[in-house]
Amino acid sequence: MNGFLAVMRKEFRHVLRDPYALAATTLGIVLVMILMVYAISADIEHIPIAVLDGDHSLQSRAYLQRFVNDTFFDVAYWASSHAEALEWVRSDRVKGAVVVPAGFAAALQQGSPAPVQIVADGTEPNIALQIVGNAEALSAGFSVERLEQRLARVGVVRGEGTSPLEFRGRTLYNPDVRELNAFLPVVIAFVMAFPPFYAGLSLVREREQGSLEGLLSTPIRRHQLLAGKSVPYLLIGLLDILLLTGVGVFLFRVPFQGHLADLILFSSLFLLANLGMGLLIASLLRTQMATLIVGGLVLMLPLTQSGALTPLYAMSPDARMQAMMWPTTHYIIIARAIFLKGVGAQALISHGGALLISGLLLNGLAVWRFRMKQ
Amino acid sequence: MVGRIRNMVWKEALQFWRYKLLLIFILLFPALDMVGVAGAVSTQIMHIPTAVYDQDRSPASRRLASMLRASQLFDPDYHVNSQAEVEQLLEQGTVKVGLVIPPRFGADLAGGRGTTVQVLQDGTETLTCLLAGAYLEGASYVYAQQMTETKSAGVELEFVDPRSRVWFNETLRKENFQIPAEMAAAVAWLAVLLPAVAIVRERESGTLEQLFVTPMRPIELILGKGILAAAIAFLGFLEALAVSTLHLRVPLRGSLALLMVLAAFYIFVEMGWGLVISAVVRSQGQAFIASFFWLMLESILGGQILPVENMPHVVQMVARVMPNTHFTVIVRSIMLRGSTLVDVWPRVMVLAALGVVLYTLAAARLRKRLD
Repeated sequence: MNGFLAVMRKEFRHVLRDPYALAATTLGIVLVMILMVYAISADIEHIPIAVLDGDHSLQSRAYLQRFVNDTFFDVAYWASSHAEALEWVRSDRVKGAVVVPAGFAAALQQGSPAPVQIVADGTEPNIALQIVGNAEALSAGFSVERLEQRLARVGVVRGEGTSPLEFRGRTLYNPDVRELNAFLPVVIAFVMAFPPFYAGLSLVREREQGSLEGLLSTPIRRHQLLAGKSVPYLLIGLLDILLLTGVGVFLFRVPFQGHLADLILFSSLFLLANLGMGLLIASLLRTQMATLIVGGLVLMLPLTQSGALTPLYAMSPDARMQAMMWPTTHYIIIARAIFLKGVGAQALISHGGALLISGLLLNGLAVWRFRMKQ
Repeated sequence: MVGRIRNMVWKEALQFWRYKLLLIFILLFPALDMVGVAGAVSTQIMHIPTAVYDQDRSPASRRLASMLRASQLFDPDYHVNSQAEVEQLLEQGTVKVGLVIPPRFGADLAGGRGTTVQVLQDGTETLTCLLAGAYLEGASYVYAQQMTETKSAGVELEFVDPRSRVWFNETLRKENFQIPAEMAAAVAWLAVLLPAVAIVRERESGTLEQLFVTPMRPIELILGKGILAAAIAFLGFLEALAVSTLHLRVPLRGSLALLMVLAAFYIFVEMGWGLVISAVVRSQGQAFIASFFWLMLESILGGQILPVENMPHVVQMVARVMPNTHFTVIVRSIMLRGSTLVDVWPRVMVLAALGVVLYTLAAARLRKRLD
């Protein structure tokens, strides 16, 4: 125990002696998070489109005026020919085009469908889907308005309760469906994967500089040595969690429904699992250079594979399995539940258990590897 | 000068060769990343786990459930007996949507009195919420339209018939969009990490000073260190490209040669950030922190997830100095849109300007640190 405390004290001194690293792992992390949150929370609107009014009628102007008035679209160009409108899409000056052909008003008058062409650039599917969805909604709105005018003329007024079946939605946990509320836990999970990796790096540095051998010739046990070296970084990690939570709650107004104690408990398990990964990599690779490169690449993979981009249920079974292997996936679920749902620890026991098991397994492997090599 | 650089590259290659495990990992990484991303984004949002609390148990309420199942958007697999159970399943995260069908649902519908189904959604899954909400709104709109049509028998309908067409990625296949961007990101991690570490390591162990007492100039050192890193990153890019096009079937509509040339150019510019980082930090630990933060930002702000144009101005300014942002646009255009050099020229110019600035900064800073 004394050995553990001594190593821990020594490691704290290392941390404090490098004020740049300390500032980066605390204030830097906050800055990174703020930038990420600002980037993510931006609303998607003012999508530039080109329009072509091939009919030049009262009706076609009224129809296109809906696109002008809509904040989702930004009518960037009034094309004078069909080819020109499409060329603007092709050259990426606009993301989509709405083409009203000649004969639009005539078709409407006759009561036959008036075709309108909507083109969306599919290189960004999320945007393309929204372009199509919004354009169709505007068209439907236009149709309904015309229909209501006609019905009013024959004396039918469409009012409330005309629809026999109504779905009344109630969104729980995040009533305004605020993207930022759901994304803050993700950002925290991403940036928090990093401080425990630093412990592995510190271990390899001792080995590279030869001071590890000195430590090993003392009566200290291997696991005490590893634990002593790791604790300062785990504490920095917990401090970061509190900092990020504070910024999220007070600056970005993300609700915090759960208990802080639960967050600290589960965050510790998450840090432990990441620590295990860092130490294992460090024990497999003998130099800082190698640890740093592999560590960096391993930290990158969960960015796209942890279910932050796609809900887990929508993934293929293989991809879901793969996602469940990353501690980040479990922590995102836990952090969202604590921040937004306010559930107690019992509801999170399976995900917490997964973190604990991977933490014990990885750390155990690292200690074993470490023992074997000396 | 050429001889000195060649010796430097040889020395670096020897050092790398000594770490087999590192080499294996670096070579596996791009393929691992591409396949992983493809799996994570491939499926569309469907089969939302859904709980149903059916208080009516009539043919009409069962028809509603089967209509939802037929849409494939919902999987109404959880049948429960109280609203509390619905909320419990939502809280556990087992289901994302819960439907509460009122008693007399079928009778009210048949009698034309109208009825309301309560929909509970898990707001932590924002995308699920939006899609479920939009679908249900559409379903009730269809009912409304049928109703209006019967009331207005004899009135001519007039309606706009929007025919939507999506270009360049006709089926809106998400892989086609995400994988090219991921190629840019994966290469960025290699191109920044490798040179940053290579230089800082020399400085930390004191061998950088020794290199400078030789006739080697800073730019030669940078090139010598960089060429190997660039070669590895380029290899990574080719591997990612092969996996994406051959295995994951992302189309390559533009010129392969153009894509390869621009990728090499991009790697060269992106390495500038690695060099700048290596010139500013003092230890490998600091290099790790700095590169990790920078790459993290590049991966999130570079337009892979959301279009840069929609971000706030401050963030856009940061995104513009990321080579990744520009190459993401280039690689998507060439692969999906079949763009030519003329189309992507403005982005190439920006990359060139970034490269000049970054390399000048790195060389100046490196020289100053040694004086």
